[in-house]
Amino acid sequence: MKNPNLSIAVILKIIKLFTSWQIEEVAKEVGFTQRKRGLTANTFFKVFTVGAWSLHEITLETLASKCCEIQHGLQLTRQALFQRLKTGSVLLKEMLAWTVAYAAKHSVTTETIEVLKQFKHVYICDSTLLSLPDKLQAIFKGLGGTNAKAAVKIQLMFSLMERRDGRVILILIKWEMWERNILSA
Amino acid sequence: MGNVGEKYFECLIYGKLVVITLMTALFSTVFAIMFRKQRRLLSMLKFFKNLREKSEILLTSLQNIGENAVKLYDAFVDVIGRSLNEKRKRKTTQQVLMEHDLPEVVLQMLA
Repeated sequence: MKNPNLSIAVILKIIKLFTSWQIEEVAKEVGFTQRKRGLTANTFFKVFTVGAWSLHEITLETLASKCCEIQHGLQLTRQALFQRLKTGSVLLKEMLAWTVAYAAKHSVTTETIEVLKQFKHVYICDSTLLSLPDKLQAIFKGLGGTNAKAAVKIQLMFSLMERRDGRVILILIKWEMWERNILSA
Repeated sequence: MGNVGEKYFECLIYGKLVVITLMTALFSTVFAIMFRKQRRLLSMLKFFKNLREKSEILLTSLQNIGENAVKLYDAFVDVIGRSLNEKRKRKTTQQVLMEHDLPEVVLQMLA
């Protein structure tokens, strides 16, 4: 296809998020970046998003080698990467909230829908249940029956009217937590 | 997933969700443009499949977007070209709906 009538700016606008200064800012806030040398938040973010997407077999070893591939001069073992996962998960969670807000901001202007203007808040809520490998049953206990032994519920809530502030709530819910706190409420 | 741990799993799941969010946003944008300018529909499944095949190029190009802008653009044009639905005379329900004066948000929701 030679001419899709597509401006390069349209693509770059969304892709630029991957190099955004916001990643480093968030990394400092969550304590991911402590010193200038070593694995950067930007590399970690790229590898766990696009990098992991391109891999057919995801292991810590392949992810660590991806980090070395894209960050010049970096030498990273899988043990070293493993130690960054705790703060890394917080970083990615924060970035996901930011990404959802970013994507919503660049989509259709829903403020123009007259019917929604009469409400103070409009929330979009969605959830899904994800079956996991049995190895995770100690951490994410499943539902039993026809479902897997291990499962997790992903719940997302997004405030449509306040999207400029990026009000996104995303929770990974362990099933027993769901039963105890949500169903008993 | 080999040696699975809670934090490792969380990183993978949040990473996947970030990619899905961004690529869906990109798809919606491209979908609307392609329909408006060429009256062609994009397949979401094909778009994601073809984009995944180009993810290696995407990852290396992200290192320096300024220098690799053309490379990125060419990759996306190729993905879009291969994700277009085939031309057909009989209209789909979606195409019939699109002939009506519907707000843009509905078009977005159909995508």
